[in-house]
Amino acid sequence: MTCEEFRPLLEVYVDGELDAAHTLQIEKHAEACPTCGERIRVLQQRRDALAHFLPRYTAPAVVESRIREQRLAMPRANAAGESVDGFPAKALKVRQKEGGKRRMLRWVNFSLAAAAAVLVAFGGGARWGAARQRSEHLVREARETHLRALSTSHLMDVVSTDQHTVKPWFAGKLDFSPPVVDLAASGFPLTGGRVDRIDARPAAALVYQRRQHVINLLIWPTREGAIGQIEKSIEGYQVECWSRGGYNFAAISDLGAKELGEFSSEISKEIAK
Amino acid sequence: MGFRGVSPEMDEDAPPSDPVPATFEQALLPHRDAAYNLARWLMRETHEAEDCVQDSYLRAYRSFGTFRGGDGKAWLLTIVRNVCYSRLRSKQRGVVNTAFDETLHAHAIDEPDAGVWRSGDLRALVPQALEMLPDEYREILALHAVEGLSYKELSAVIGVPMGTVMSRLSRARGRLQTELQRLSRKEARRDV
Repeated sequence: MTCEEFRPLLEVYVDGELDAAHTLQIEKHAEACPTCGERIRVLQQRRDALAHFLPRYTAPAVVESRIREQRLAMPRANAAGESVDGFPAKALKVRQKEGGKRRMLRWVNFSLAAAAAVLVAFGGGARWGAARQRSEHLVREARETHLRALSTSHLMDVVSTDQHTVKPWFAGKLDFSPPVVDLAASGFPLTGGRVDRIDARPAAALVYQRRQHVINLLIWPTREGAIGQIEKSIEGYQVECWSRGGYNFAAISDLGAKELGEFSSEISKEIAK
Repeated sequence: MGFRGVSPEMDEDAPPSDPVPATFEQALLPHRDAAYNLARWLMRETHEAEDCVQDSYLRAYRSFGTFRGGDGKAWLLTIVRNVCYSRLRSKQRGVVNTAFDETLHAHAIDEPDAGVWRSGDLRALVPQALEMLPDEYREILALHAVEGLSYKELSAVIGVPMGTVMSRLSRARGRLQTELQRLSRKEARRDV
């Protein structure tokens, strides 16, 4: 590919939205081409300046209380079961039926959520600092990588359940040789792998399965810094990171914390063998 | 460091493949900052933004029955942008208004300008420059650069194909850069 062909892809590349194959091509090209290399640097500077200097406005506390008051004042439907707000009565009836059974559960859930929020707020103060910022960034990045892989159906470049096929596939595509283990015996069969990015560098991505759930496991060397232990749930996804034997690991899935914890300890056990 | 044991999503009795359906509060309340941020950038003003968010939650509550789970944030943001746009339009009624036109607002050459992103009072000027852009450009940058939405999420919230997301984002940054160059020059003149 020529510079002209790469050009429209550079912004997409800088946004981290380009597929792995083109990403590798661009990185190889940029090493040899100072013009494109400089262009990428400026685009990155622009991207970072936008992310850094545009404030994220947060909702004043009054917004939350107004939402809650408004919600409590809203009737679900009038006595005749008719819609009171232009919503089809049929749909409302369905909701009422489940509402009866679940209303209690909803409020239990809700108070649990409130308790969790208080705990998070307290924990947050204690963990404040640069390390926390990096780990939050990694968690977000890991989740985004996971979603991107699922949503662009670019989950796997090598499809194999055999670790001895997957491991050699990475040779020449990465500057390190990632440890690849199959966990079929523990109920987490390996299904394939691809090259992806995290922590501003290329990483091996291994794909595992648990029932209908996909687990992405990102592996990259600790050369630029170990990440330590992180466990976090973010918008319905569970992320677990740890460092071991010269590698950083990040596991992401929509599985619960318990099952993903099992997965990560099985991985560590197998790799230590 | 995790929040094990207090997560309301963790229900040991339910099979993990069948998660407990989210309540209105669980699904949407955590996204109030995202909703407010979008409304604030679109409306350019605090009180209008607060009203829009409140109105959006009301609409969200009314149609929560049609919410089929999944990404509550994208669902809510779609409502927020609709509420904001209809307010902006009714405010602009009677005012001669140039309709947003992707080609009209296109920036002829988007040559990233190294200088303007390396110097000057970026903290003050970058937000100012964004305030000056047309609604559609403020919106996409508030969602992408500030809120961190992916192309895919942008496509869902704004309701345009991925190709349009990429080109609009690129033009929005180009336009913002032009405004920033203008503001920096003005600043430099004042300093002389």
